[in-house]
Amino acid sequence: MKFFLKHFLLLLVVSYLSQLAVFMISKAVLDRYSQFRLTRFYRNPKHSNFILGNSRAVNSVNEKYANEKLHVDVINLGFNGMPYSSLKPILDDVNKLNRNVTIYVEISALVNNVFDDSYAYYISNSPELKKEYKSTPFNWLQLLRLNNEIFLRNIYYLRKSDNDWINNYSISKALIEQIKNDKRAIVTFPNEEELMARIVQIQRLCEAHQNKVIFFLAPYYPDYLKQMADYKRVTDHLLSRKDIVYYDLNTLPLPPNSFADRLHTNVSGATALTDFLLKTIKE
Amino acid sequence: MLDYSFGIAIFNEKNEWKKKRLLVSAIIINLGVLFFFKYFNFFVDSANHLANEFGLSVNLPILNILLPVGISFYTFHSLSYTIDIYHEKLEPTKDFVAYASFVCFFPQLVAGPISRARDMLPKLVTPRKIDGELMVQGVSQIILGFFKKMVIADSLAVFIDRIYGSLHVSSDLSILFAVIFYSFQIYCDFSGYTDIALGLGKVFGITLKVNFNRPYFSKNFSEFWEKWHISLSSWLRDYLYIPLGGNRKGAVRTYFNLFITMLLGGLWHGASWNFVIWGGLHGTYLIIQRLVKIKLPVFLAILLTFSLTTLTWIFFRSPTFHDSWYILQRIFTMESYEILLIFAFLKLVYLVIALLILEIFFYNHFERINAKAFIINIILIIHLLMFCTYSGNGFIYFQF
Repeated sequence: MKFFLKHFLLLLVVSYLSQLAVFMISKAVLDRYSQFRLTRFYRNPKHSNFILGNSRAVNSVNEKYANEKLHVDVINLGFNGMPYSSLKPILDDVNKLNRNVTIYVEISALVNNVFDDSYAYYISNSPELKKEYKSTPFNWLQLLRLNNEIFLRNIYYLRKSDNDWINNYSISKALIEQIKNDKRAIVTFPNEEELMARIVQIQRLCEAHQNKVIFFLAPYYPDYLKQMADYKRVTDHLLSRKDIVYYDLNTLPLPPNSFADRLHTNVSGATALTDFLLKTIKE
Repeated sequence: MLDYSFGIAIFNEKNEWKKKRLLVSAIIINLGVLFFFKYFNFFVDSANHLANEFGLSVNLPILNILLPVGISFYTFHSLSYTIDIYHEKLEPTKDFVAYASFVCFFPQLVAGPISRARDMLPKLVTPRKIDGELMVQGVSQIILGFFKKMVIADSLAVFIDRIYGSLHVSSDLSILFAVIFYSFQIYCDFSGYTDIALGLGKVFGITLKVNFNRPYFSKNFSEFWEKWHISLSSWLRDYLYIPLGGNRKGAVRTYFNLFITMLLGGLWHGASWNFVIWGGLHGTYLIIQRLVKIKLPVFLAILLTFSLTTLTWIFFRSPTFHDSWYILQRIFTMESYEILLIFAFLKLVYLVIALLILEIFFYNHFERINAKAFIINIILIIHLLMFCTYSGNGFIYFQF
């Protein structure tokens, strides 16, 4: 038994130290060289415009196009499925590290209450995110922070930037037919009160840091939008409020081939939306 | 309790005919219970379908019952006990607790390996001492099992489930990779479970039967079945193939025996025609292998055996025969090549390569207690932390 306990204890100690070493080396290399959006932000947090939200925000603003063609300094911090619990600490970081900038928030991410452990990857970069993961194993078992898609994307984007990460295909005919034949009512904003409270909270936070916030709703495929039971009520309410700046991008005349699927625009759609958000409304 | 009692009765009975009658009763009761829980609905459903095909309006009722966990495994455990006593390879134990421990030993209860009473009982009736070295080996094997299951099998499952769940919108290349990856998923899922079970056994001082021995490096199908789910294939060989006559009654009878054994081996996995086809294909491979004797270079022989085995897994994984047929059509036409989420896909490729390296260069590292084995354990733990999936996927073989 003594032999076993000695071996077992040694295994635990060496495993712990090894995981710490692997984490520190991997994180140091990736923090320095990766071109993944959130890593780029934590390496260089100063920009003039920021985009926040889920995959709909990712596919709404073409960062590369804005930087190179429109000559507007913007970083798209959107990420697939980003929940409010992760968006808020990142927004806090943007606010703390910047003044007099514009922050664009895509509102469909504000109703996602799922806890996503992927952002534990940035615990060491962000004290705000660290608070979010307080009393989870991510705090003391560092290597767990790399067990997610964000880590894989950081490796993948070691040699190239993800500033052009946007769907580059068009919605298929089969999916268009499926959407047309689907008559179910879709509820996108199940808790409107919570959504409004979060919008107000974000507005106040940004104002407190002298930053401007613009809320927007990325467009849905038109036939899908018709099925959204609560869309009109929510968007009318937001448009009627004088204390917030809100744009419903569904009003833009986008052709059907600007969509990649029912929820996301593609490169062509994103270019039009980028023009509108970063050029037209600013002018 | 039934088999325990039958064992004593068979041992005490001197009349050969009565002895046989007792054995047949034990087999009928055991297989009857298994049939009732596992196959009743399947056969009723098939009978209803067949009757409808012939225009008959038959609607036999289907029972709404739960399948007892591990029934296929402990039925075979206890059957081997009774049959071995009949063949006088084993004396019945008077220690009921030891017998019950043999049938219900928790690491092997739900998914094997299927132990033989003559191997296990002596270990349970004799007092065991704490063996530190065996415990260290056990922990190493448990780590390997968790690596295979939680890192490789469950990561592959995410990709495979996505593709199998959306075959019509997936590219042909994605489907092909899902098919290939499934070979590794089922191997890592099942052999991972076995490693955990064997490791736990070692921690308790009991060495269980080895169940896998690098099956995908087999050069032919006979070898594959000597290395894949060894406890089941040897059970079927000893208690089905050999009693049927084995290879002692001419070539045609040998082929028939092989085919029937594999067919029933397929059906043992579950009440579905897909499992029957899977078993039937393996039976056919074994027959063809005996008929066509071509000597291939080792690498080609391994590749051919692996490829043909992978094709059979399509039937094992697909929910319906229609899906299996659709997949076969897609992977043999190959017209679309996109792979979505390339970084997640590359992670899977890396993990499969890591598995192959482990199997080729560090096979059975857990049997040794030295610096090399220690370092491999550390590397496996690091991989567990970095890549394991917390999806809570059950073990595939739990359903059997």
